[in-house]
Amino acid sequence: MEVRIDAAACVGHGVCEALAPHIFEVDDDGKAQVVAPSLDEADRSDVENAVNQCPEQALRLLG
Amino acid sequence: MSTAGLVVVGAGLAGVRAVEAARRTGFAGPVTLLGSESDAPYDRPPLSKKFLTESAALKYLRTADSLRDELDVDLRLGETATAVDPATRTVTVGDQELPYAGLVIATGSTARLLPGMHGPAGVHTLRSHADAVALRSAIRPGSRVVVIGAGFIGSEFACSALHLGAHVTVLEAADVPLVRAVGPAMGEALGGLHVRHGIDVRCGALVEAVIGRDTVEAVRLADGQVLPADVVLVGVGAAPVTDWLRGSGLTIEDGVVCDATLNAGAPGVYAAGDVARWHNPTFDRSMRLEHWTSAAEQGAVAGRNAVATGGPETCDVVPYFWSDWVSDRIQFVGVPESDEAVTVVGSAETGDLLALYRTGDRVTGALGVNQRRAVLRLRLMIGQRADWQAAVELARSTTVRSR
Ligand SMILES: Cc1cc2nc3c(=O)[nH]c(=O)nc-3n(C[C@H](O)[C@H](O)[C@H](O)COP(=O)(O)OP(=O)(O)OC[C@H]3O[C@@H](n4cnc5c(N)ncnc54)[C@H](O)[C@@H]3O)c2cc1C
Repeated sequence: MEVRIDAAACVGHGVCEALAPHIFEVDDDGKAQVVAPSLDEADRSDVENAVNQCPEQALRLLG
Repeated sequence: MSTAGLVVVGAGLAGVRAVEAARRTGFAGPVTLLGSESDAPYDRPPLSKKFLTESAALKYLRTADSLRDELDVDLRLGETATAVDPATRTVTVGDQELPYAGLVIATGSTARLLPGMHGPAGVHTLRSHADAVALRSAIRPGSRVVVIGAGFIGSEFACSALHLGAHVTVLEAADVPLVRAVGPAMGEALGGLHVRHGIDVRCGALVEAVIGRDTVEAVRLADGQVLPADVVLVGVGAAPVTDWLRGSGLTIEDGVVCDATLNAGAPGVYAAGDVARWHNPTFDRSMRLEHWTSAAEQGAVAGRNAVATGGPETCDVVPYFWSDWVSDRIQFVGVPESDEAVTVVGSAETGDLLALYRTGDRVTGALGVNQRRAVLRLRLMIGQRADWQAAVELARSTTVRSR
């Protein structure tokens, strides 16, 4: 399981970080980053929620 | 008659998220998605922003092909549901009775109209792709634009029209703009942001008539003033689309009334998005939101619940919305009703406002202008029912100051 962030689309709403702060963080440039060293099945629903609720549709879940 | 599966009425954001979530849980039965509009499901927020200012293309949430091929959805665009019968578990579409096992009502909302004022050409509302296309071609440099209603849609449209070189006047009947969305104190503050951008906002302005036979010529106020206009945007709020549910026996009170799981009071029937009024466990009260992220969240929950074999999940939401005014981003989390709203740093005029809303000793809301980092942290805190003092400290340490 992997999550891709489209940095060009991300404008730093921070919806992902507010849903899953252990996985996402918005950096000083206002772009989301994945901060979790690795993702496992237990993270799936958090990641799916973040993907679904990203207002810019900048997140994609692979696998 | 086909086998009963999941039927989703309304092919907007909530409807798309509902079919996606149902499939993701492994639901393999038939899925039908009905939408009145002929476009594949698209994103509305850009319609008052980039679609106008940058002539951006329509942004689809998912293409028709991807819905049909990847999600195996029977996508029926240009088709409107006209009734639901919970007793026989059917939805009426044209002369067909479509059976459902699970139903998601996601018919969204529609722009409210002002009685007697929509006759002449040049008077617009802004909700759909077609509305935005009409406005985009109507506005030219030098156009005289009058916006009726200083809510978020009116405010964004005013900013975009100004950006396109129009002369813009915003009329608001209330004494303060945006009261319902952010409360009186912060509504006043955000009004200051318009002033900084050079938009003429007149509060306490009662519109009496739109003048013009075939084409709009002017707007007349109750105090007799006449404002010449080439384009008028009526931005006086949105009404949930529930007319078609009359006779269904479902409870409708400014939206489809739902419990904490988004169930609308009949077996297998759920509602999501702008049309849903549900009991939000996070604030222990009934609310109806017209915000993008909650429509997405509710859509997913309703889609899962409508096909679930076990018990339904609840839908816990900390409301969030954003609005872009020229280059300033406004963000609000939580609910505006509170004991007090306190400015923690900055001001709207300097483009660095952060305000917190207190209810008892809890933080229940936050408003930021260009303060995205603080706002998103506060969203987490509000969800965790955090203590007021902790929120004030967090706010002080994460805000940015302009210059
Ligand atoms: C111009 C504009 C700008 C916005 N900007 C922001 C913003 O910056 N931030 C933010 O948080 N929110 C914003 N919003 C709000 C956000 O877009 C909505 O909350 C969201 O679109 C709601 O999604 P929905 O699926 O509930 O409803 P909708 O998007 O309205 O979709 C409902 C669909 O159902 C269809 N339908 C209705 N009745 C029937 C029927 N009987 N049968 C079949 N189909 C039917 C409708 O035609 C429509 O396509 C904005 C809205 C607009 C209009």
